[in-house]
Amino acid sequence: MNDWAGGFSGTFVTLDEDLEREFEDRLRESTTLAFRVAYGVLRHRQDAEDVAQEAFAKAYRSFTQLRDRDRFRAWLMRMTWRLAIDRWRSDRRRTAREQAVKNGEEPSTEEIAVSRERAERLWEAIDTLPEKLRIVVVLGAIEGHDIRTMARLLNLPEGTVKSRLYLARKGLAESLRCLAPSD
Amino acid sequence: MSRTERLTELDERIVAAAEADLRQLLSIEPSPELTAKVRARIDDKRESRAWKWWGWIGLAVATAAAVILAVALRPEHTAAPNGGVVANARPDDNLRASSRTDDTTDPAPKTTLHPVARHRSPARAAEPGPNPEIIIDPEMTDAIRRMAIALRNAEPDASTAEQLQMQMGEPAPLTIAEPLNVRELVLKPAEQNGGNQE
Repeated sequence: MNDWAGGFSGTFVTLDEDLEREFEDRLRESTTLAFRVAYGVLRHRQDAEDVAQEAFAKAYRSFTQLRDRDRFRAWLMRMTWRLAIDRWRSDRRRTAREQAVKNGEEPSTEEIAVSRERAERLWEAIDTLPEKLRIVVVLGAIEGHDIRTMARLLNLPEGTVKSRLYLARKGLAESLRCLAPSD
Repeated sequence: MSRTERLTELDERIVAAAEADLRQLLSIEPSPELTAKVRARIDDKRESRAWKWWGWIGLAVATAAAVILAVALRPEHTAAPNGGVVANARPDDNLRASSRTDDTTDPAPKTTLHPVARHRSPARAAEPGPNPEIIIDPEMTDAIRRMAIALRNAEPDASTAEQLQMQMGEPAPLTIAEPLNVRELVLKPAEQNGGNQE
């Protein structure tokens, strides 16, 4: 991540120096967020990185048009989410890839930690949620975002975010109830 | 989070476990090469956009060149010798210029009164349109055309022009007619003597 600082000096020649520096800073602080948001939708490292790259490229092109630069993170997050959802919906290879995973591809370290079956169930349950509830669940799980941060990132009132989070949790509980240990 | 309190205790536990799992699943870090890939992607996009711009510029230049060429090589601007003269468009011009073999080179103002008709291409001459010839009687048009062709095919003879000029004579001086002075018509009763004056 540290190579951003030196790396962009010769790359972003079309932005002026101040903007270039500002863009570097924003990117440095938002790379992981963009990647994780994309991963939360696609569950595939390479696809998530590809979507994150695309989002950064779009952000770079439109950076001068962004009036309130403090909202860069929210702007980038929404752009990444939209790109990831589009990719998730249109990518026909996804089905084959998921099938390959089920057929014995090596699980990621995160999946090992969670356990393959639980992870699959969880992703399935998240996928059944409507998009506006799904993003709240994913964002809440990334970097421990609280209601206020999520509201800011989604450009929504806090009350709306709370309500959506409640509905999302309820939906998740209904989907995952069968997995719960019976006490 | 008051609204989540409405979930049952079991649901709360399920959701808490799911959220913990999800946090763990999403704690994934991007690869260290991601930044380099982003830089490469931005460079690629910028290059492709630059090429796209150059492509548009090239297309615009090519279009402009084609338009300029089309204007420059228009049939009206090319030499339209005898074939380009419309015989029936301006019979007067043809008659006056009868002693000349190539009236397109005539610099006299007399013969440049109707340059459009004189420089019309054969293709355009054949076109029907709002040209003066459509109001000319077809028989007269044919006659004039025959005469023009005959004159054109004849040997150039300066005496013909002189004869014509002599026949036509010098143009009469322009006289301005006096305004017509008509006395007011006065109606009188008829005389009894049958109009005979005494």
